[in-house]
Amino acid sequence: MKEKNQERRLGQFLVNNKAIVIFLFLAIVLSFATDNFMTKTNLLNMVRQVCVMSVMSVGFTLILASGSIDLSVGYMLGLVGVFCALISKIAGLPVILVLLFSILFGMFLGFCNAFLFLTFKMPPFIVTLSTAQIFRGVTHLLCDGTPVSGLPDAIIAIGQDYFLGIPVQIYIMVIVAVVMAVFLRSTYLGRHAIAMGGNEEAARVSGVHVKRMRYIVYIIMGACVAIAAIIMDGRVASAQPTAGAGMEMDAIAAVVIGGTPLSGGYGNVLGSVFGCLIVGLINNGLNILNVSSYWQWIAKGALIIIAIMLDVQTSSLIKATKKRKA
Amino acid sequence: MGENDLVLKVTDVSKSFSGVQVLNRIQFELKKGEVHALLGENGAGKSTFMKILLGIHTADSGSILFKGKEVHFKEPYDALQAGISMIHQEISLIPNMTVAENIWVGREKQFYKHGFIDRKAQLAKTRELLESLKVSIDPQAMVKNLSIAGMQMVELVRAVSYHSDIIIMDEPTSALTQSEIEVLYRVVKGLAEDGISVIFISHKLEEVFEICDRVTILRDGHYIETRECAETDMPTLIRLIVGRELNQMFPKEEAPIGEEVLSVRHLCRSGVYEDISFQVRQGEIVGICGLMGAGRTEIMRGLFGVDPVDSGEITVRGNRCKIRSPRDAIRCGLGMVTEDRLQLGGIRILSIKVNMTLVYLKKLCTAKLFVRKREESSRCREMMELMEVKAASVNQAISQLSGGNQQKVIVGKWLMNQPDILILDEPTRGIDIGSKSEIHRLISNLAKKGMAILMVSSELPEVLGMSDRILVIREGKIVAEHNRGDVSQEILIKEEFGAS
Repeated sequence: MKEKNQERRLGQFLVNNKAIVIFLFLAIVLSFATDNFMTKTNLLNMVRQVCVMSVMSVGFTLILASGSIDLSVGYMLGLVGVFCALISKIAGLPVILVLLFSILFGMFLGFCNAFLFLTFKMPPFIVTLSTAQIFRGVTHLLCDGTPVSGLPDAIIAIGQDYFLGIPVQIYIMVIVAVVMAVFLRSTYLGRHAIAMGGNEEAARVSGVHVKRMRYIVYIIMGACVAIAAIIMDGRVASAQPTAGAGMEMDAIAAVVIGGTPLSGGYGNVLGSVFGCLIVGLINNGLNILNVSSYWQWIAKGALIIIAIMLDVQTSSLIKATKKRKA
Repeated sequence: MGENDLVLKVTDVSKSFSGVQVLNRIQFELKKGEVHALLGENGAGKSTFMKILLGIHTADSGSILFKGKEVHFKEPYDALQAGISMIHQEISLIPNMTVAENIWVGREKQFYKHGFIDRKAQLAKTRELLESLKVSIDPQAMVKNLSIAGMQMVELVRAVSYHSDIIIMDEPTSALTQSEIEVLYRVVKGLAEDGISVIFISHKLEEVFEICDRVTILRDGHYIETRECAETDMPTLIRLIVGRELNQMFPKEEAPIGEEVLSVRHLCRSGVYEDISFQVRQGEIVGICGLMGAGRTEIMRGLFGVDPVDSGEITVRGNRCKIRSPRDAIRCGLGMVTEDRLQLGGIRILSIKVNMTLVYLKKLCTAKLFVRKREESSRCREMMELMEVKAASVNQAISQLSGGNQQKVIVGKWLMNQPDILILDEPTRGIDIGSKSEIHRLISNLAKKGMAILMVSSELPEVLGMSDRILVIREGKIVAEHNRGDVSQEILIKEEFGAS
């Protein structure tokens, strides 16, 4: 009985975390197909490449779980990145204040998104689609369309240094993911966000402060984008105005592959991180196999379709077996 | 009357939903060119019956003969093609299209000329149709600019344009003014003269005598009787609608009634309800009855802050409360089990635990943030035991539970927060008999412990059995108040219907 229970729990875990299964499968295939995939350098390289995206995806998990969407995160990353570089270069602020203000700025941008769609009762999809373009324009205005260099060493260290043989950014990514996982699983705010994603009206009737919760979700998203932007700045040792372009789509893909449904009511942070790793794995593997980046885009698109298909198939399969039992 | 006159003959149609029998061997006959009223209390099975006719639901057993042939429609479109159409209470037109476009939507092909729609031909045909029915509506008007009556008329015309043999009308006059009603009567009579049969669902008994030829009464999913309208009168109909004896299912236990807990004064929302004033005392169950659409649920939603109110004063234990949202209401000590279990009650995809602790969650937090999970689970299990919820574990999604168990989870959610006042809107609708009496026993126990309870229900025996006091709502007003034992079901029905 106990064994059976454990078996069932493991089965349920794997169904909920398909991304881990897919990741392991792809990793095994690649390690047989190529010589230099399973090397420490390559693996660390791969994880490092998806750190920025992972931090963003962790925030995006909360957005989707709460039943919302944010299409502005890509260009928001570029804007915060340039903001960060400018305040350290022009204002010459100490690093700690640069980091603090950058994160506050990200939170402010998230607040603006929420303010716009809550105040004017517009769909978040449209609002964030528009603010994305505004962020993009402001970014280019701020830096005149050219990269900003001359970042302080500490920020470059965040993007390039190692601690105990592991890139610093991986620690940051893990910390952000753990904090978010705890937030979603163990705080009443996280629970309220998920309840709101499951059924906004029912959550409101049960006393959830829906409006405030939406602000919180978008502000947290902004903070995650800001952290991702700082890592990005550090990695390339300058702020690129085009840094985050299109990244919102990668984030959606990774989070959905990770098992968080677009319809809300459930959030899987671990899945999102593995979703990012899968995307990284495919890019990395196809690079090693000398496949052109054109094909990589096609592979990414196909992957999203397969992930959603798997999701639909397994849930209908579960339903069917349950019906048969009943 | 020969069998040939019958357009529709329904024999022994039964239907149950997850073990609850909602229709039991229904009989129904419809003659060509007659207007036939279908009467019954809320929940008598009228709408389920109509949904079976239209193919929205499938009957478990029995037969439906339409024009002499047995039919099994799979969806309303099949029924429409065959000649049965229904005009629902909710308007189902496309607001940004003209009258003519709405009537022919989906059938534009017949007007194709060189691959485009010939608008002139469409317009001409619409005019012809409108004139034949003596309806004066501009076929080029935008539907969104029409009155409700106008929209209803367009739906009626559309039904006729499908060459329907049977048109079902669900409470068509509920939103119309007196003069609009006259026009509708005239058109309906005209249809009948042209040989179209009309099934007329109504709550207004006068109107049945006004335009219907025959009347069939359903009660608790059973067929009761069919009568010629000319050979019957209002008291007889009321007796047939009510019929049953007040059964002994839900006696409220005696509880000491204490001081006033909730006082509502002059609550008003224009166009929905007005000047609603009442009190509820400790240990008291106040039953609220009225027909569907009378404003019962709307008043409760206003009281609980779900919808805004225009004016009014709410006092809890002598303190004035400003209730602008459910959060305010909860803070004032109210709880509300909503009528609509799926939309507002529970979050279907989430677990029993998440649903049950949602209201109480903040009080289960360390440092005002982190949920004490072990305590949460144990409290949840306690409540499940108390409520006798049948489920595998606290982590089961409530969508997998039966209606009765879902309702128990939702009631449990509110009880966990220990409100002073509990509002129950249709607490036993659509749940099986067993769970029903368990919920009744629970409500009774809560009153005994001193909770003040407001219970909205469409089931008069439930209201009569459970309540210490009964308020009757009609057209957004409290029209009568009765004490326990002072009133009969017949009187309540009369007050609900507004029959003198």
